[in-house]
Amino acid sequence: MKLGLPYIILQNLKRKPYRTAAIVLCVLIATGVLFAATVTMRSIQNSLQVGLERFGADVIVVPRGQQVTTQEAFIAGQPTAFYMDAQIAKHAAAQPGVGRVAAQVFVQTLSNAKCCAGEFFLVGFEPGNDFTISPWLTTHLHGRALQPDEIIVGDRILLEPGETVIFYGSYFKVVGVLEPTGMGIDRTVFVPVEGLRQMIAASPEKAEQPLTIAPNQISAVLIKVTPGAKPSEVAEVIENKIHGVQAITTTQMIIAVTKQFAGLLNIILAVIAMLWLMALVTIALIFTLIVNERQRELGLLRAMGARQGFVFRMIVGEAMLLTGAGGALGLLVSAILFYALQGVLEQNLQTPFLLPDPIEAIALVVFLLGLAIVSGALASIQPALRISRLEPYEAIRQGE
Amino acid sequence: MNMDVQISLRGLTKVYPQGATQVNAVDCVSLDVCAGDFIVITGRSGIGKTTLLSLIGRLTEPTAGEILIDGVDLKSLDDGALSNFRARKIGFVFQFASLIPTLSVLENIALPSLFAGQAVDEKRTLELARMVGLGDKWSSYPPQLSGGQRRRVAIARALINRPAILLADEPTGDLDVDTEREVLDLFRAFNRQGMTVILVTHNPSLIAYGKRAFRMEQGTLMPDQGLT
Repeated sequence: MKLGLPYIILQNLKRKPYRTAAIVLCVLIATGVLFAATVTMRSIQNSLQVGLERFGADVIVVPRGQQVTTQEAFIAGQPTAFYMDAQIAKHAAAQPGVGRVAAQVFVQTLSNAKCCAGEFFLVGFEPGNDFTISPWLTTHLHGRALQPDEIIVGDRILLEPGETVIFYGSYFKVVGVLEPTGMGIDRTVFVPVEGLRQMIAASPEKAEQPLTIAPNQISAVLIKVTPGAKPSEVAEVIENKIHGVQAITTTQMIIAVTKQFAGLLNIILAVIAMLWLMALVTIALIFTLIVNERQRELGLLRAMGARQGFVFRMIVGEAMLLTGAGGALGLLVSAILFYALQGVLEQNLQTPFLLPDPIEAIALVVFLLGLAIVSGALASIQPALRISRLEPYEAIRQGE
Repeated sequence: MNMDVQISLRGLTKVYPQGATQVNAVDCVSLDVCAGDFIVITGRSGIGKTTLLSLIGRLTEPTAGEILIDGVDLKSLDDGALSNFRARKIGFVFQFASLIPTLSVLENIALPSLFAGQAVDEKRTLELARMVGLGDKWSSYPPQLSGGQRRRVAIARALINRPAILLADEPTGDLDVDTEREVLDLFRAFNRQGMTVILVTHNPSLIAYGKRAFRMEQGTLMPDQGLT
């Protein structure tokens, strides 16, 4: 015979299957939403962090006032175009703490034009100085330099190596596809700056709309600081010393983007807090009803020799088991739905996703499961205390 | 009869507030019960019989007076000791169907073993089930049993820990005459084995089963001349 507290708890839960299911569902929803929201936010933050780390630059120098468009370009691959004097790269290189410097030229291609394959974000890079694409070229093209008419595309651009694509009337051959980063790079086309300049020069003849970018113009300067130098201090020096530029650190970029989601995050957090509160109140109410309904039975248990602690543990145990089961199911359902709908979320939020690593995910699961179980305990503690402290005879009398 | 006093009630009083006034459910009751005694307390409904039984089992705290069982003042026991005392020393049979609906007949009978900190003795549990005539129903659940069968399960449960004292509150209230006689014969048999039985009932004919009889009126206990 398996008679014992856990067995009695399980038997009690079987007594009212619909009520048990309702509580489990309530906690399932609350835990599931909390899990999905947390994973979403962490995925966005992770994606930004990892993407910008892979990106290699510590500081990005752009014309003053272009911080937001730069963020959109680097984080979401949103096509953009702005220009400044190429001499800025040289000035920046001369500043203390600046290690490597690479200039880039941005071009936004045309949509609905025969001369362009579509609207893309083209980045012209300097093969000699670049430290964003070049490591990839060394590994994948065995160090072979790109020809002016060869391009590398991001993972999210639907082009395969060997395919040819037209921009402003000039043809380019895809020679490689970058690994996914979850960043704007995935939606960017990288062209050697020489090829980009040739395309610009030919655009008045070949394109429906000519490009007017002077040969001495660049869009951004990517800087890698020297070991030990602080990117924020280097950025400050650059802004002070070079007129008309804005130096953005990658950390700033993460903060700025995270702030963009702060509103959404706050709404989600408010909804979750309300959900949890509702779940807690509902469970507390249900357990008050359960205790009232079983008052005579609980008094009987005390009369048979059950200690106050036994009755207390039985009530709280039931609640913890229910909320634990709801939490576990909520996490499972949420995880399945999240992985299934990840693409839809990415599209709707227009932001990259990089799921938390297994350790972080396990920690989150353990935390949320613990939260669900503790919530069950909190919700049932008052009725459990009340009934366990009641005299057995009073419990029996009141329960009649 | 063993003449050692097992249960001693001294000026036992239980007062309940009723609106602005107070009702003395049990009013200064003093009684000595010897081990192996069989006491029948009669009286009409609502007169305080159940309250008195609950006081003896310390299911409720007296407003005044003391209860000594085997010389131990029950007031001095904390929850753990009191629960242990109830589980090991006393068997309760209540006047209502008092089974746990989610546990089988066998599990219901064995339940007090759990509270007494004893391992469940399946052999004894089955023996008790057979003794009360439910040997073939041991795996059934309370909702599948008749009122009389449930009452018999409650009696078997009260006996599982071999209590020294059996407190029975209207134990035959909803039983037919034959089953009533079977149950009371069981009580008498246990009493002959040395168990003290205190039975409260509204039915005066049951005093024939007791060794001493009392009548309860307005919270006080007086000897029933019919037997004592």
